[in-house]
Amino acid sequence: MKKRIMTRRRMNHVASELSNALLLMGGRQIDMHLLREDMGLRLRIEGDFALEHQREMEIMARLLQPQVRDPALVETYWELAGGDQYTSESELALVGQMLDAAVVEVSEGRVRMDLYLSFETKAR
Amino acid sequence: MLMERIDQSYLSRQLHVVPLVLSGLLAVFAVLAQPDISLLRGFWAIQISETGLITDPVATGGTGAALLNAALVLLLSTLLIRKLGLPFTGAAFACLFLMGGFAMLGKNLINIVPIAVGGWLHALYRRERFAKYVYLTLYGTCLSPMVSFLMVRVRPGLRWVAMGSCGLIIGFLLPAIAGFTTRIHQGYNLYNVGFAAGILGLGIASIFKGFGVEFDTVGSWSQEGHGLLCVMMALILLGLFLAGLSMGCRSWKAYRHILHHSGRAVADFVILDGPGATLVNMALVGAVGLGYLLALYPLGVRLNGPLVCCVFAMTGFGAFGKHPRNVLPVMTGAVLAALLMIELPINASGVLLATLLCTCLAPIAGQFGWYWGVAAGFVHMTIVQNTSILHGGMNLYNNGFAAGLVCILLVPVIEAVKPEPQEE
Repeated sequence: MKKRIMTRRRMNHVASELSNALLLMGGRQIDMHLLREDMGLRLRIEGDFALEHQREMEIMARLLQPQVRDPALVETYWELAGGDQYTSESELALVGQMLDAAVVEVSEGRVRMDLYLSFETKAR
Repeated sequence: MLMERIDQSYLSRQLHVVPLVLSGLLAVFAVLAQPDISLLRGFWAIQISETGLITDPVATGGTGAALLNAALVLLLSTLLIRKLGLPFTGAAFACLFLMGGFAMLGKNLINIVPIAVGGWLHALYRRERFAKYVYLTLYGTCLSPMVSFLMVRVRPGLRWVAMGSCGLIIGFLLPAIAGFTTRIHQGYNLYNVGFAAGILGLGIASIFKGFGVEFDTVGSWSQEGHGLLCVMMALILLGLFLAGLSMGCRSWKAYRHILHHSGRAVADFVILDGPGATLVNMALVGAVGLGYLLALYPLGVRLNGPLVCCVFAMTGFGAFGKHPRNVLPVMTGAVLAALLMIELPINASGVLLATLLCTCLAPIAGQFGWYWGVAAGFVHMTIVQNTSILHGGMNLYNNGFAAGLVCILLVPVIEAVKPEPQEE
């Protein structure tokens, strides 16, 4: 039960950080769907952003889908994600580290994300 | 230089070599410094002696023995991280360099073990993999002087029980406290566990004090081995620089992106900018620290265990938040404080440590501007002079403790007067 609560708290941080990031990048309509599945929580986000932030959004997509995930780093710092009004590459990288799986598709002025956090911490 | 160039196998197969080579280099210099039996005698003396702020293992066992201790502590920490299957990210580098460095200022093979076991018990209690807590556990060994203190001061029949229990309690409690303190300073203090350990150390020292036990450390400060340590540090920094070049950071363009990060945790440069730029940055940040110390040579400053420790700490966090652009303002503030205040001679041991280790506040300069970095360094230098007494000098990351307090004092003020980020 405690692990599920922790996963919920982490997903709240993820949602907070990403909604803040999208708003800072000029988003006007952001749809967020949070689904509770048997083994974890899934967050689907779809939204727009200002075109001058296209490159930043592409970097964000890369940061949310890292090839390397360090569970010790996450355990030490995850509470920093979504904690304040600032959003930088390092915070988005932290969100990427926190997730168990992520698919992010960026097109011109639009982004679609499918983010997953497992209830169980698996060996990564 | 971005993420796509990094893959898991690259990180785990290539980067783990860096701390292993570093450990080997420390061992080689240990033998060069003391090529006789005094090396082992000195090494044993370091294991069974009291430590704390500021005791120099070079004074206890000799330059070679101190380096051997650092080599073995670093080697074991590296093997632990490898065994647990963690990738060698910037966080791992920062942690390992801190382990190796602080073995030149109080950590040794005996006093870190009970704390490490305590961290493992914490993971067991939480039914989690120990891998998740390994950084917190290794950082937590900053309270290892308490273990050594009890080993030396408690009567023989009880000493192993006392030191073992103390270490287990520290290792068990610290991960929980460190998670909480992160929220307090919001990532502006890179030595987060130092802050947590300062609070836990304050609690433990107060309880001991209630029972009539005072933590009082016998300080030592060596002036020997300067030349050898200079050569060693120069080789290490040069090696990191060349390794960075060989991993692809061959131009200013490839490096400069690092300078645009605020450095606020979590600025893991291996993840954000790749290993090449990270290793070059580590060398440059370490060179800033080493250069500062060498500039004070005419004032009698000589490299020794604690100062090598500081350069190691700066170098390690060159992979996790520090870069020349954000450390220099903070160091400037600290130097300004030392120059203006008569109680703080610039070449005093505590002041030297604070000038180099205050760079854990570098994210303040990176996030809010150089002037706030100068202010943070200035305030840090004054506060850190009064924090050691709270935990009896038992927290080796005293500067991390002080930096946490600086954040509590400064960050809300800065945020109150600074305009909020612009929204489109």
